[in-house]
Amino acid sequence: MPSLLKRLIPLLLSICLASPAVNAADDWQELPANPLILTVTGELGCCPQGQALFDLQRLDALPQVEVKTLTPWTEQEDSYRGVRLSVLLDELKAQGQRIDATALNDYSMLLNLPAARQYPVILATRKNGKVMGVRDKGPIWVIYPLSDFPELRKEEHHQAMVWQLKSLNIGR
Amino acid sequence: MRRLRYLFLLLITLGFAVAIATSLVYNQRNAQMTSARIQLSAWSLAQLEFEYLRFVNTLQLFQAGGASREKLQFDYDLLWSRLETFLSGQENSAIRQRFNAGETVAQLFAQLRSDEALLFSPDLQPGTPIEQVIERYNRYLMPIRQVIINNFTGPEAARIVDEIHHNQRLSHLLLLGLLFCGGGLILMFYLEARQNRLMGRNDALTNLPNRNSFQALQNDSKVANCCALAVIELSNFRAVNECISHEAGDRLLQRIGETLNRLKPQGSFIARVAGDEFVMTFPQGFPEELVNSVLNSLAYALSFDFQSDKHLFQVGTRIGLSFNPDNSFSLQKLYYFATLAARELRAGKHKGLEVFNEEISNRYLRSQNLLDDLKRAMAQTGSSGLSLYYQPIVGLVDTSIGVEALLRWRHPTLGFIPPLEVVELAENNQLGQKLGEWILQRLKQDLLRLPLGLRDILYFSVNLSPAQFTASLPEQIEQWLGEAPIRANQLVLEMTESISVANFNEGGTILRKLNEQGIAVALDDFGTGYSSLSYLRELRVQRIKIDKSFIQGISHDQQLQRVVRSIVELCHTFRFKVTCEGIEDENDAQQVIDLGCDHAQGYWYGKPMPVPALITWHGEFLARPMLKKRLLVQ
Repeated sequence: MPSLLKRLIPLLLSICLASPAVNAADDWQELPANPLILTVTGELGCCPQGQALFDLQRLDALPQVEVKTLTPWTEQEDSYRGVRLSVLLDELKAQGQRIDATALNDYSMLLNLPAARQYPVILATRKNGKVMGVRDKGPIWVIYPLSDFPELRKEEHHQAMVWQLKSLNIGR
Repeated sequence: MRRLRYLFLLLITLGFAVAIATSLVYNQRNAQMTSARIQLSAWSLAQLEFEYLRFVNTLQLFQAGGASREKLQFDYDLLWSRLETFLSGQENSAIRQRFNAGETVAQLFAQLRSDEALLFSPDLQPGTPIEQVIERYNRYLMPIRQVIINNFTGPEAARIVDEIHHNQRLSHLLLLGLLFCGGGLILMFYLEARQNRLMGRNDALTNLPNRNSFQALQNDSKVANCCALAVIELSNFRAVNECISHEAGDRLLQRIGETLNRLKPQGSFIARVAGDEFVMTFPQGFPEELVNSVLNSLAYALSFDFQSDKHLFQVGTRIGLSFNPDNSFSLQKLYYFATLAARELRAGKHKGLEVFNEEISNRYLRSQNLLDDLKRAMAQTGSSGLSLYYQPIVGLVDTSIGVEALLRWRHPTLGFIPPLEVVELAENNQLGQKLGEWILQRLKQDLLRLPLGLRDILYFSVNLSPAQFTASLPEQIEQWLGEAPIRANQLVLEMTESISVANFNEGGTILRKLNEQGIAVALDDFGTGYSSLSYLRELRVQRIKIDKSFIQGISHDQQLQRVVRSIVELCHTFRFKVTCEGIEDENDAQQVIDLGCDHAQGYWYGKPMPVPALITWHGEFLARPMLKKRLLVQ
């Protein structure tokens, strides 16, 4: 029951917070005021130029979800917070079957879209409540809820947990 | 042999289990080593070296004024993140523990942290000489390189690669072992199946093929196309089995099997198709005379005295033979014909060889039709043609009068059927018991038709068939007596010698029980069988009926007279009453009186007759002068 609540609260939160995000839609194609941390490219219903730009503030304006999990690269279960990937894609009205995630060091990986939509996969911007720097695998770390869903503990998904994420490319 | 098989099976199973378990362990170990060493460690070491070299490169560029502060700090952060990742978490734990990798990287990380203040100080601008800093990081070039070399080459890596290869070789060997075990299992399975098939096809006792394989033959054209087929039956097997023991019977069968195998012509097939029945085929082209001579010598070889314990049995064979002219009959048909020929011998109580012909076939068909009619006749209650006639048995030394109930069958189309044929027909077709029951039932009905005065003074003699002579007979008779209007001492049961000989041990008990009820038992057809004196002594019968072959013409044959006199005296010694059968004239009658017989039976006294005629006969008999004379003498 508590785990259900835990999953329901972010969902309710996302519904409540959905409306302010829509107001920001016009701005996504403009360069943000703060440092750019995420570029989403591809066929985006929201942005005719095919590009949406995010600083931390813009990401924070989207509904936030919390995931607690252990990863193969950390020693204990930490709490990660950020926008759910599927919510972001819906907000951007992204049309596409594949997502290519690229990191600051140019590591790139194709994400399994059905899995990414099915599970609460988030673009974490905060770890244990703190904004993540590059040293802490920030500014964005793709977090899969490994602890809650044992079926995700596979190399395929481990590889998709791109840290120091800088861009997403959505294609057909 | 069986234990050896089980041991083999156990070893194979153990081999299987061990090979599988060991393979699993080795595979697990190989997978661990491969994944730890190759996949993840390769990636993480490559990333580590890459980020490290980029940072050193950026340091050098920065000193030369070719890189910005931000670029330097960015690469610093990336390296920091990489080192931290390497030093924590489960994914890199295996590689951290090897070749001092963890220690080396930890030192590099400590170095990096201690330089944070310097590299992030606002005074640091591109172009600033940072030779010492570069030098501090260049020192890690070789150790990091060494970790990578050691991991992928080097003695430890070589050992692991060798071990993997060694394990693989072992796995291959184990798999070969598994293959071998599997082969062994399949071999065993095959051998077992063959053994089972052999056992299914062969008779365990004689090692000859059995009925199954004989039936299977009918599809094999090579053997099925035979020129002749013989059915070989033993004439005395049942007696050996019952009088001595089943072991003795088995020994006898084994001996027969060996003889058959020895005398079997080339290309012929023999099988044991039933308890004491064998089949022999003759291949196509085998001359007819040779078939006859082979079977005649076989019949000769199979006629011998079989001695077991104190018993001696004359074993003989009946061979039914059927030729296959023009190859026109199937094996099944040939077998059927040969069986009919053997059956002729059996019915005639003959031994030797009988060749199937049309006459036999007709006789058989007639008997089959008769059998159907007999079944119908027995089922009908009214006038079915089947009836009982009664022939008087007259007391010679007393006034007793009895009658022997005799079966008569007037067939609607074939006319009078001899009683012996009817009885044999029933006996040979498992109807003996039923016919016996029918006779008793009809006798009961006939008794009710007799005037009371007559019924009370007569006694009634009934023939038993072999099938009736079972342990349940005394009970059956007791029940019958309960329903019939006569006393137990008015009933005499007649049985032939062969019945009691074939069932001697059990027979004693049956006879004792009948005697206890007050029923007398008569031994029929005495003199035609082979009763021994000791057998006579032990037999619990009250009457002996001397066969008519000893009586006919006795009045003018002095030798016969001496024989019968001896028999009578012998019987009297054993306290048996003697009945003479076949008295046909006054001379015979006088003769048997002179010889001391107790009872007489024959046409001269009265033919077998139905109930009304019997009543008339009795009246007339009492008025006969001969009788009056005798009664006066007494």
